[in-house]
Amino acid sequence: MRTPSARLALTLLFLLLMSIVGTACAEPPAGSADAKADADLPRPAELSGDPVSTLLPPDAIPAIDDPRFVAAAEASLEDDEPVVGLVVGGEARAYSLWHLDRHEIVNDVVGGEPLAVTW
Amino acid sequence: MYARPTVDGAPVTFGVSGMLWRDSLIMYDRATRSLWSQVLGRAVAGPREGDDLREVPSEQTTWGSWKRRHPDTLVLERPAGLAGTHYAGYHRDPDRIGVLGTENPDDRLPGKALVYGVEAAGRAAAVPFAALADRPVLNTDLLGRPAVVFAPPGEDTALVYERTVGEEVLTFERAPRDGGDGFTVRDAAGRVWDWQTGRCTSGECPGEALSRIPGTAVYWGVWAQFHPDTAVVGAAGR
Repeated sequence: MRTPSARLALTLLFLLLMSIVGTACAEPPAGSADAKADADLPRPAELSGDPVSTLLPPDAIPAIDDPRFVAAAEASLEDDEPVVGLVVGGEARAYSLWHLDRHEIVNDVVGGEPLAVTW
Repeated sequence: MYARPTVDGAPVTFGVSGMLWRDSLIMYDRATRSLWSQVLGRAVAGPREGDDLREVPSEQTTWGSWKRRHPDTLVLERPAGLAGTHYAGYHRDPDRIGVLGTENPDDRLPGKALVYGVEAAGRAAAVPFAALADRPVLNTDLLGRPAVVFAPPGEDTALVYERTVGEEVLTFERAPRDGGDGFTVRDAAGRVWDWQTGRCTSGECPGEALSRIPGTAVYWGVWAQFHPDTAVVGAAGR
C-alpha cells in the first residue's frame, strides 16, 4: 500500500464489493474448469513499470455470460441513466452503466458477432 | 467494446480477474487464461500476450437519447430498483481516481474529466466531453489524420469519424434546420451526412460513408496513465 488513505479505500472497496457479490457467488464444483481459475491466472507484480494490484479473486465481480434483453417499451431504465449503446449487423442494443458497474463485462453476441461489452 | 476472438473454434468469454492495473480493469479469457487490459484492448500476460482485440464502435449516452434514436433497440435486463450505481460517490468525487488513491498524473485536464480516448499505431489522443458542450461539430485532427466529432445538443453522446474520404478531406458544419428538429450536418460542398451512420444522404457523394474511429470513454486520470504522451483535442481554438 502506498498511503494510509489507499489502504482504507481498498478495505472499504473490498467490504462493499463482498457485501454485494458475496452471496451471489457460489463455489464452483471441485474439478470443474472454473475451479482452476484461482490457481492458474498469471500474477505479474508489475506491467510496463506500473504495479498490478490484486483486489479480489477472479470472478468475485461476475461477468454476465448469459445476457437477457427486453424491448425498449418494457425496459425500466430511467431517461437520464447512462448507457453504452451499439449497433452491429443492424441490431441496436443498450447496456446500463449502473448495471455494468456491478459486472464490468458482458459476453454477448450482437448481429451474429461475439462481443465483449466492457466497462 | 471488443470483438471476442476465437480459440479452438469457439469465441472466448472474458471474466473479471480481480486485478487492477493503472486503475483499470484486467480481464482474463477463459480459454487461455491470458490477462487483457480493458483500456488497451491487448493481452498483457499469458499465452496471448501481445495480441490485440478488434475494437467495435459504441456510444456512451443516456437511455432517453438512445431510445429516441433507436426505438427498436433491445436493452440488457437489469434488476428493478437500481437507483444508481454503487460507485456514485466515486463518480461524483472530483479528486479520486481509481480506488487506490492515485493522483492525476497529467494536469492538462482534471483527473475525473471524462474523455473519449483513441489510440492507433502508437499514437493516442483524448477528446474531452466538456470541450464538446458548445461545439456540436468539431473538425480536428486525431492521431495525425483529419477527423470530425459530432456531439448533437441534448443527445449526451459523441461520435468520431475520419473525415478523409478517398482523396478528399471534408470539413463539416451543422446544417441549418429546415423546420425539422433533427441534427444534420453538411460538408463544405453542401452534401448532407447522417451523423449517426456516417452516410452521405444527399448530393453527389464522394463515398458511401465516413469511417468511425472506435475509442473508449474513460476518465482522464486513467487514460493519462496509459498514454503519457497523449494529445488533448478540442481545447480552446482547435
